[in-house]
Amino acid sequence: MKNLIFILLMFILFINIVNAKDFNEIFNKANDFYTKGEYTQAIELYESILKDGYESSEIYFNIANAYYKMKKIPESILYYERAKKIAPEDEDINFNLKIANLSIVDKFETVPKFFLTEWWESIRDLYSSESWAKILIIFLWITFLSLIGFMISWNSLIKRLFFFIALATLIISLTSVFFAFQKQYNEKYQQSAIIFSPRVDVRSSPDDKSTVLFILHEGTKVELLDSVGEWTKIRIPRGDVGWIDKNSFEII
Amino acid sequence: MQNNWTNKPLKKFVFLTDILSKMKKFIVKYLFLLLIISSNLLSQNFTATVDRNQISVGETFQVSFSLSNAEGKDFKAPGFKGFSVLSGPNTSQSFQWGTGGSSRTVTYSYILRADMEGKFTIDPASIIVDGKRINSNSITITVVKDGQGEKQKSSEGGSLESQANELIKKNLFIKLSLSKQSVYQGESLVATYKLYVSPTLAGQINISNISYPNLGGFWTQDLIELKNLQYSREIVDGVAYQTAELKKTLLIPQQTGTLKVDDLSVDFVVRLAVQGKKRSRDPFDIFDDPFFRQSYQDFNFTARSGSGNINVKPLPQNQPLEFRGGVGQMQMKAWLDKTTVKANESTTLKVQISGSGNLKLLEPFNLNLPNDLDVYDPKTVDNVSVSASGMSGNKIFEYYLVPRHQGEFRIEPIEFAYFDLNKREYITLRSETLVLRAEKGSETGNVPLISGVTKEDVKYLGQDIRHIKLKDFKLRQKNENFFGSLAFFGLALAPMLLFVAFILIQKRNEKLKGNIALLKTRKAMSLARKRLSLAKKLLNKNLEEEFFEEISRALWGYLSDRLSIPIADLTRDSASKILTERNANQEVIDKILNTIEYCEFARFAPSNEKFSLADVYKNAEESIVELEGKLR
Repeated sequence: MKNLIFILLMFILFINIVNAKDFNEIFNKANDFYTKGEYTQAIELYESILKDGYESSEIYFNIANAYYKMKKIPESILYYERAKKIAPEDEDINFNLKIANLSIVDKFETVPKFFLTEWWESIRDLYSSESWAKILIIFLWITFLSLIGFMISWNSLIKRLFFFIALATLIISLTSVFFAFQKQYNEKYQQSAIIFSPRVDVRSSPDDKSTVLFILHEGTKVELLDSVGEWTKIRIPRGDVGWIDKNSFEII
Repeated sequence: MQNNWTNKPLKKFVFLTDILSKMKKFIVKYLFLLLIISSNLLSQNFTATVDRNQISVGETFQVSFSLSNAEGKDFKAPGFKGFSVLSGPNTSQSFQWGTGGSSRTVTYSYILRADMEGKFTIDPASIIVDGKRINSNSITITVVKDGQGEKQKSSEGGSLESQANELIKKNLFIKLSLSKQSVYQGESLVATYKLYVSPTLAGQINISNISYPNLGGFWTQDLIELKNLQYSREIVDGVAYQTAELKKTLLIPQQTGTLKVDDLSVDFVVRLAVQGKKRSRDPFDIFDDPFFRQSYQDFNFTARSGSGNINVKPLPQNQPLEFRGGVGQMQMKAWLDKTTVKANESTTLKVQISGSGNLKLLEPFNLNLPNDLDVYDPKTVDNVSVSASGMSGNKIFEYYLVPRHQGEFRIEPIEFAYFDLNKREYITLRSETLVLRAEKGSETGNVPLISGVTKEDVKYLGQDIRHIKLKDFKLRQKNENFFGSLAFFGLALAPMLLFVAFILIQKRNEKLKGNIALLKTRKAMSLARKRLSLAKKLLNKNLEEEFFEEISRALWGYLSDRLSIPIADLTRDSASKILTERNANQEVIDKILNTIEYCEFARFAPSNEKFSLADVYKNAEESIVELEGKLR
């Protein structure tokens, strides 16, 4: 059993360190380009690291920065959002995303939700599903170690202490499971996109002749709900729903 | 002529024309400045007119044949059957300069007298113009018996005023004519109030007041401005009336149903020549030459046009949505001044409605424009002219557009529906889709709109983004998630497995330990019994020392096994303490411990014989049984 844990730990470490060495050089080179102000080359190099189906919040963040410096706001917001999806807890990403969002046209008031829902979601969105999974594992270990401690200790005070630690960490673990599940579902099935067309008519139905409900401008984040042919159903933070041309946005 | 008058002793009035004919008609034209004669006789024509068409036997009247704008020769008068020619042909010429140019009229006139009653026709006269002989019209004259004609009525009136009234009524009237009797709502028509003055009164009238009609229910536009009356000649039943339009108005009904076109009334002052002045001793001195005896008197007279009714039909019910009230024949054109502009720069969208109909009543309409295209209140340019045939021209609505962002703005086809009066149905006009391309504006135009920034955003204004991440980047395969992966499950299940394993080990250990203790406890009693029975044998053999040893062994062994305490650790104190903890009462504890103590003493000092051996055996047995009952 000890061997199995060792293999698993090695496996995780292996994922994180594989290729990194090969790409470190390219990464540094791209960073140099960025510092010199040659953003196009920097973006190209960053993209070359990611081309084999890899993703990295740091690289997305750097690409977004480069696009921002080139005044390509929709692109930069797209990459900030991609970075945020991987690492929602990263303060730099959130900060820069807010700055980039200042430059877009559409400002929406978000629909107020029930305060408990809002708390739940704001806590949930602090971390990615991966982070929640890690939190879960850490607390699970603490829970069971505390239980063992509880069982072997004779002193009643220490016994009690172990019991409460076990109980608290168990609650945290269970909540983390919920959060991780929800986050994973959102990451997988709740697709969002950034509008790329300078302006796009949002129509009431997937049809060129239907009524224009409102207009969105480049850089706005929308939630994708459904799609029919050339049309995609979207929802904006304000809660309004409509159909837009599927060529007018880029999925995060 | 004098004879005629002598036959009518009651006659108080002398028609001015009679005098004028005598005086070769000049003077009076200038007596009343109001009357400016302007005939629209520019076209060449040859007409016959009379000054009256209903006369009494013996009365005289004038027939004129006028040729305008042409050089005529060889004038041939008709035979005046039933009349005697008193004078004529008298030829006169007149020139007129009007707005349309000058005209020249040659008039051949005759003074005729009716000889007998009946209906007579004055046949056309003829004249050669440009080598062609042209004919005038014919006129029918009704001659009534003496005293039955119009003169009779006037003679019957009592006072001078009423007679004058009667006379004026016949020769001065206002007619209301409507170009249409039945129209659709929104269709235009023309109401004309026309003044007719018969030649007998020409030059003798003066207008003192006009009360204009109230044309409620209509949108109106006057077609003439009444500064001067523009007189023209109009022949009604052969009588050449001087006519003037007092009011000519284009009406567009705004309501449905029967609408009344009000009457117009005019107060006139009519100057009539009165025979026999009061000053004269004999006012009815008819033998005097009237020319010298005549004097003039002014009479007030009010003429009314009478009102008219118009049936206004409602427009058909099936109005299209785009119907904006237009009625007539219309076209529409829509275009953009500039189709490509920079963001925040303006362009003008023009919608032109042209044609005929109630164009002036059209209001600018709201366009279905893209939301982020700012549009200002439309400006209306009106090129509509109003005439008797209605309104025509065009109306342009100018919409000032400002695209706020770059991009392509599609302006949906502009739709305009009107009611076509010819086809009697609604026609919908549709423009093309207009496309406005807005290019990226200047830098200033693209500054983020501060107005749209929320309170929370303000703290980020003016800040720059944070620098890129320079080290420590983690790559991971896309769509690969730690949560749910094998590693995750491994790490999550590991503590549980560990815990389960721990518990299992713990259990096994406990089981092993627990079994020995239990065995010992269970065996404690029987072991003690065995020793006690051995002690009994020793008692029977009276082996005191062995007996006491066996008793103490049995008791110590029992306690050791029963309490799972090694014999080496057992002392009187520790045993007493543990037994107390395990709820044994003090009496039993003392009994067993005292027995043990007694036995140990007795082994080494047999002299003290407090208890018999049998008592000791009994005590040991009892204490074990009692203790066994207490310890559970």
